[in-house]
Amino acid sequence: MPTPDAPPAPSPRFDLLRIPWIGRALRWRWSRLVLQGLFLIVAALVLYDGLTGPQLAPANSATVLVWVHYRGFVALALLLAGNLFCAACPFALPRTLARRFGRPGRRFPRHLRNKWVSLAGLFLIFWLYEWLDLWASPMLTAWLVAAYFAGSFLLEAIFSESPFCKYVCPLGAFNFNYATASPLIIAARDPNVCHDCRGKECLRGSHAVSGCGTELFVPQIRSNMDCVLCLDCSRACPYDNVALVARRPLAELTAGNWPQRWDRAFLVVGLTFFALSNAFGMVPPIRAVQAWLQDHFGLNSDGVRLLVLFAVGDVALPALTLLGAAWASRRLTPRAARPSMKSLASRYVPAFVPAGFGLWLAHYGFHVAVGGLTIVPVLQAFLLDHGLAWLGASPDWSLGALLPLEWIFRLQVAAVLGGFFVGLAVLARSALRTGLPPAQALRQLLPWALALTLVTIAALSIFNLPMDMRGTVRGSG
Amino acid sequence: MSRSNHAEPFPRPTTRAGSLALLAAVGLALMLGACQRRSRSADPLADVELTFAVEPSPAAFGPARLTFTLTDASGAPVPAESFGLRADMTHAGMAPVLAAGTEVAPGEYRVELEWSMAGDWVLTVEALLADGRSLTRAIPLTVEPAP
Repeated sequence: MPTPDAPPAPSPRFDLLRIPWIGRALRWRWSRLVLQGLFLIVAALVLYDGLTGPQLAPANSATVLVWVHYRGFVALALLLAGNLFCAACPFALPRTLARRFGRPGRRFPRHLRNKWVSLAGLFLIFWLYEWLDLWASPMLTAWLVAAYFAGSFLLEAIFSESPFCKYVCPLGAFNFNYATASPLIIAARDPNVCHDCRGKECLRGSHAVSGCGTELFVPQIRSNMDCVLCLDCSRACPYDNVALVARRPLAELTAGNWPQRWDRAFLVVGLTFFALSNAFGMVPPIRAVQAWLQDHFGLNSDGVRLLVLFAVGDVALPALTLLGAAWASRRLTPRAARPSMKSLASRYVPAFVPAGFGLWLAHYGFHVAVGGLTIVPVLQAFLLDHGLAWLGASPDWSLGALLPLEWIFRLQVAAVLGGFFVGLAVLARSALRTGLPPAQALRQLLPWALALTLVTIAALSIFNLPMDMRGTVRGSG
Repeated sequence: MSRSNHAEPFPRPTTRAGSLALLAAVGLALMLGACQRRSRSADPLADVELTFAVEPSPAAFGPARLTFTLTDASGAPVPAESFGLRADMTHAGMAPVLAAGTEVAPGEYRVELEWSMAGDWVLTVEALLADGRSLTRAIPLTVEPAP
């Protein structure tokens, strides 16, 4: 019988773990390892082909799989389900070896237990991507993958709490951020069971299964942030009380309980601007800007010019947007009801999640749509290089687009505008939850709406420009 | 709730399986590495010179005509049984432009194609010479945006 302070009884929800066959497969003890194994084979192919194969990006599985398929499908997975790529991440496999041979147990330094490190990693990745033309280099792509394995191994050998996943991995930061809008979330089936549970196996693990690697406690989960969807919690729970439930669209973004942290706020806004700069790097005006920097500031190094561009576009602009909108929003709020800038940021930055996701979907979706089938001739050629004709006697290089090319721009516009309008809806719901009169709530959200509008206009302008892809070919052939 | 104050309560039961999976993947990679991989690097054929001209020049987005000339060390034309061109952008995810060359004069081959995007391209010429040798050359080319 529920006690007065016990959680309310659960209401029925769609639980993926209760679906016949699917639920059983997901809760199977080895399901994650199987998925990770599959992706480990893909990673091994990327390493091998990237280091030994033809150094022409469209003809090498390393570059095609990483820069076309991974990026595109991760976006789709986040939209349709959740953080599936973290669930199947092969970079987490070195963890098992690392813990065997290392001495984990130390806590990650307190001042680094935030998203600033992963934000720095994102900045580094995107800068290197542009400076070294990673998309055009199978070898550098392979080395990037190797660096991920090495980084994961090193951190897992020293620290507990899966710090690579939670605090360092740039891919994880991206996935966690956009998983806050995903339709599925881990939850307790019956909170009363968790209330009376002594073992807390979902967190601490059981004799057969590890507990949550990122130390999330199931009955307290309100966000997909830091959840890698490994489902170890469900396997460890002795009461079968963990569910993977569908939730109301935008639930997490409008719940009003976004943590009041500048690193979380900057992660959301920053990733939106990263989307803009990543797309801007592929259109002609980037060269005019670089030429201007060279002429006016004597910046002859391509790397330095790009560093300046990224510092402005991916650090200064998002910071100004975040702080500027928070300041303006506060000024537009009646003094009697005026919250702090941090509070306002936590209330309204979730609107940038769908807006930013729309930009990424438009960009990554473009590459998958235009070149998704190129992996077929690439794999055909790979096998033929090794004397295997399993996929045919000659590669069919005519294969390329998944969708008609005339559809692409319209889909991009739809993604960008869709993200924008959903973002506006998040702003509106968040403002109305404050309890302010509608007119005052509208004034409070105006700076954020303006920021979203400007970002959307910039995105549409960029996507409307013709692409102009430049990249140095290292030893083409 | 955190387990920071708790000792590791249970050993990691997936340690052995994960280690085995990782070692298996490394082994697979090593096996593949041991297989002799056919090299697809350009065949030097140092005695054959390949030059080309592109119209319009400089190359720009849209239709283009490329004229390739095969000559030997003395400048004499080198005939080919077949002449093909594959044009790839330097970045992944774009299908190549494939075109066959038409002989317009001894040792001179014309290719008509359309640049699908401005940017950096790599042209891979594959020709079967009349003497039975195969020529493969990779030529970088930058295509400017449409004027």
